Amino acid sequence: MLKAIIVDDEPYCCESLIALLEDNSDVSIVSVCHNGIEALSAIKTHSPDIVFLDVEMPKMNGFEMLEKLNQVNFEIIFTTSYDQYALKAIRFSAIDYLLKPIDSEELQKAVQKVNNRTQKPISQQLEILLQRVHQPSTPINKIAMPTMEGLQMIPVESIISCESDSNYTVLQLKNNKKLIVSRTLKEIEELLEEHSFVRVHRCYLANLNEVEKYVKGEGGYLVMSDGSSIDVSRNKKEMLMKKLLPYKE
Amino acid sequence: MKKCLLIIILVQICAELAIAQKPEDIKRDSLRIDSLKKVVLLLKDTARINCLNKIAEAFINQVGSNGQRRGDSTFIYADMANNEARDVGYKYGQVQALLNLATSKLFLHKIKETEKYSRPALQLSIELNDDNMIGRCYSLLAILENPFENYKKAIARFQKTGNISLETESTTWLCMVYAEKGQYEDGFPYCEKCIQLANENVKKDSSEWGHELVLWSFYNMFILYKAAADYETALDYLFKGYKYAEEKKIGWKMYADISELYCIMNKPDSALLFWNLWKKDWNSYAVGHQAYGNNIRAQIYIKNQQADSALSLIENTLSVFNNMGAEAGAVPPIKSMLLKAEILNQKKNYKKALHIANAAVEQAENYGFRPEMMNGYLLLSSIYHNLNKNKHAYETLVKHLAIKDSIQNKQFLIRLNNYKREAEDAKKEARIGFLNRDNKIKQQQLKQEATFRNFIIAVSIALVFASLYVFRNINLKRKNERLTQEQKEQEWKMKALESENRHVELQRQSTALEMQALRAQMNPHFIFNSLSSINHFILRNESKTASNYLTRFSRLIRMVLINSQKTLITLNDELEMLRIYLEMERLRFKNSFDYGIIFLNAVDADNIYIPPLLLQPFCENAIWHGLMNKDGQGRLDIELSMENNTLTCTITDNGIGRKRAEEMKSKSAEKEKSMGLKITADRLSLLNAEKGITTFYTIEDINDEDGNAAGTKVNLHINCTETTEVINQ
Repeated sequence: MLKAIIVDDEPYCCESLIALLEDNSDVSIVSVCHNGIEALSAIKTHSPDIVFLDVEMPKMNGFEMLEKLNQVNFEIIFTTSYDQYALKAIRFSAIDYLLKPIDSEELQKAVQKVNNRTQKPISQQLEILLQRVHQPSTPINKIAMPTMEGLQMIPVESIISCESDSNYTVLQLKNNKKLIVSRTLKEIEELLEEHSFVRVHRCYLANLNEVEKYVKGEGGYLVMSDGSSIDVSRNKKEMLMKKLLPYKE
Repeated sequence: MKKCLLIIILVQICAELAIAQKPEDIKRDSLRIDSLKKVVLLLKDTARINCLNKIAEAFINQVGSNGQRRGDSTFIYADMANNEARDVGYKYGQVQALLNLATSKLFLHKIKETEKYSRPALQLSIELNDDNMIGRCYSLLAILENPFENYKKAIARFQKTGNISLETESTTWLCMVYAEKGQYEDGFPYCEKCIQLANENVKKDSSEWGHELVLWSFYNMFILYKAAADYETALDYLFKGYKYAEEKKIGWKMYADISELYCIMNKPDSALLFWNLWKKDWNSYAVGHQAYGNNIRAQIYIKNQQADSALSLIENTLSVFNNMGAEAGAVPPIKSMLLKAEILNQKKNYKKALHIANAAVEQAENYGFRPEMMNGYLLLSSIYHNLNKNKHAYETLVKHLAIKDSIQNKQFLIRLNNYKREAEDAKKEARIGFLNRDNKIKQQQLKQEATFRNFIIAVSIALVFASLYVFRNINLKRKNERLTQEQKEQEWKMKALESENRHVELQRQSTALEMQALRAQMNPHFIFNSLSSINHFILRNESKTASNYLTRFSRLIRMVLINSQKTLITLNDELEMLRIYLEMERLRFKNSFDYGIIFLNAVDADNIYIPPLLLQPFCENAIWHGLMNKDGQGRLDIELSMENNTLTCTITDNGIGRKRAEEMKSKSAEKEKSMGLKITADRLSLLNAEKGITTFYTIEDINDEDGNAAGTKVNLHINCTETTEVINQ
């Protein structure tokens, strides 16, 4: 049985989440808080397993509340309605989130994920999250990637390329290692596009800093710093050329 | 003999081909057999043996009324020929007879006996040193053992004798074997060669079979690109084949493969369209081929989340394959088993799914079918994941990746890529060569004209000098006058241009402004339509439906908000929005209409950019005015095709038609005009003005046979200069 705390300033949102969680026998709600200060004390007294945390709250928002905590030893599931910047930061840290109004199926999935998880590198995830929240425009150096075994923190510059494989993505790393990540290439592309990563093919995302040379062809292909090669599709060729030769007009 | 061999292999790889024989062909063959039977009584010695062989061969080509080949009849005559030839020591006739015997046994699926006849045939033909015969023996043996080696030997022999038609055939089968084992990289040079050979061969042999060999060469390339996960190019080859078949009136139109590929590309509606085309000739297909088609249908069901229909279909095909035994070949049953496991996985019956998937993977491992192994491991990984056995899931996923890496080997991908480029270069070179030839002809013509022209020039120069002298004086006088006038004119023009520039700039600004305003107008339109239906559900106490509708509505609004900040979005995003929107409308109208989003050719939806929310108003119109007022089930089809950089979207409904919709609208109390279409029309014209994109639409009425209104069709043409500049903005 997982002990859960709900933090949300809007009573209706709390009520509907309570109603949805009633169907799930794995979760018991120990406290419902309507602001950050209440939540801080509730966390201290109950030491919960999961906190459903609203991001947008008056006075103290969800992120600020987390900063006030010395130690986080519970799983966080953010609940948010529409805030692209917050969402992006959350995605970087690979912390789970639910979009309001909450879909019951997605909620059950998120709870099941918490149930299955064995390893909890939550503090590192929080670090990434808060760095991103405070400096949304500066590129970050580390990214959290959910793998089959748990989570892995990866320096962004160590990624040479990403290759899609249905629901998974295979990262080709600098130390000649491969990492299987349970995220789609599209999701990863959204996170990495500001870090000089370019989708050069339906199946590949390439780190332009690691490109050794480009070999001409209908689409052609890229040879990367580790000697591997990546196909470029004909539609992406022109866009790639512009990125590789920004001063040529 | 040719086509029969093909069918044996076909059953194994289960590709698409109608085995139907035309009635006139059957009649012609039986007439031929009858006349041969009469002649054979009059002949003696070698001539008689040759004739017996001919009868046996004629039987090979004939299909019985049950769709089965006449292996038995072939056997009787070939056996007679064999015995008599041996008695008189006529080796050539004996080899022929043995080859026919082996083939007849092959049709009866008696592999051992096939071997019994083909080995002595090989020995005899080596004694005779007849390369053609030796080649045929090797290609027969290839079906039994060491396919790679034996086909290569056969090909070498055919090359020696210059028998291009047999060489093409053997190369085609070799490619198939490579594909079956998943050794795409090794097979690539042969597939490449096959295209050349088939094209050369068809120049000499323009029979149906010659054309079919060309289709096979396309088919092989399709398999390669499919394996490399370059589905667009793979689809190109299928459509190439389809057009070729259409042009030459060949029965094999590649429908089933197009359907399957669309299914893999996650476009189930398009897959269903081509599957239905394939199904038209259902009765002419052999049982195994029907089952093969059902496998594809099941895949479409799976994509559409109709697990129950898929399951019953798969149970059916599995029992068909069971009854067929060895005849079914090894790959199709494995495919069916994997599909069944996938369905059970979808239905959350993980234990059973795991059991079946394991059995299928084991079989695939035994035969060394790498493509099936690759798919099997991926499926296993997903099942383990669902069973919460993460360690197993990880291990099988790694296995899957290892095979995938070896199949989609980087070197292989690059070679394919280079081949594409070379094909393109060759086209260009051919064009240049053509231009050069043109130039040469022109040069010759020019030379001939030159002498005549020189004469004319001499005369005209003389004339010019004379007239120059006369006009010079007059001109000088007028020149001064004109110069001053011109100066004034230019000043005036400059002024006009300046004011025009300012005008254009202003107009561009107002375009941008209006664009924003219109987009802002679009959102409330969406929102209030949906809010009112949520309200409706609440009032009628349908709280589940209301909640369901609301979550979808919020998902849609989220997408609309994100996408409407952009001037252009990918076609994929637009279609996803459209899908959610249509789902919502369907929910609201209690599933009273169905819809399909169908790709008619290779549309790369990730790389085509269109203005956001362009298609939605047309669909909304079709639903609200066409389908909502209709009794009975409605149908809305959105068809997309791409040609010459123009995306054509056809939105067809089977509603009440424009005229009646107009009548109903004027009768109803609600006088509010639908703004969607008007706004879209405005947006299209603004876009035209600004981006130079020629976008326009036409609306047609559809009438049934009696001339009654049977729906409306909107054709939307959007000229897409593909992507790039947009992304960089």
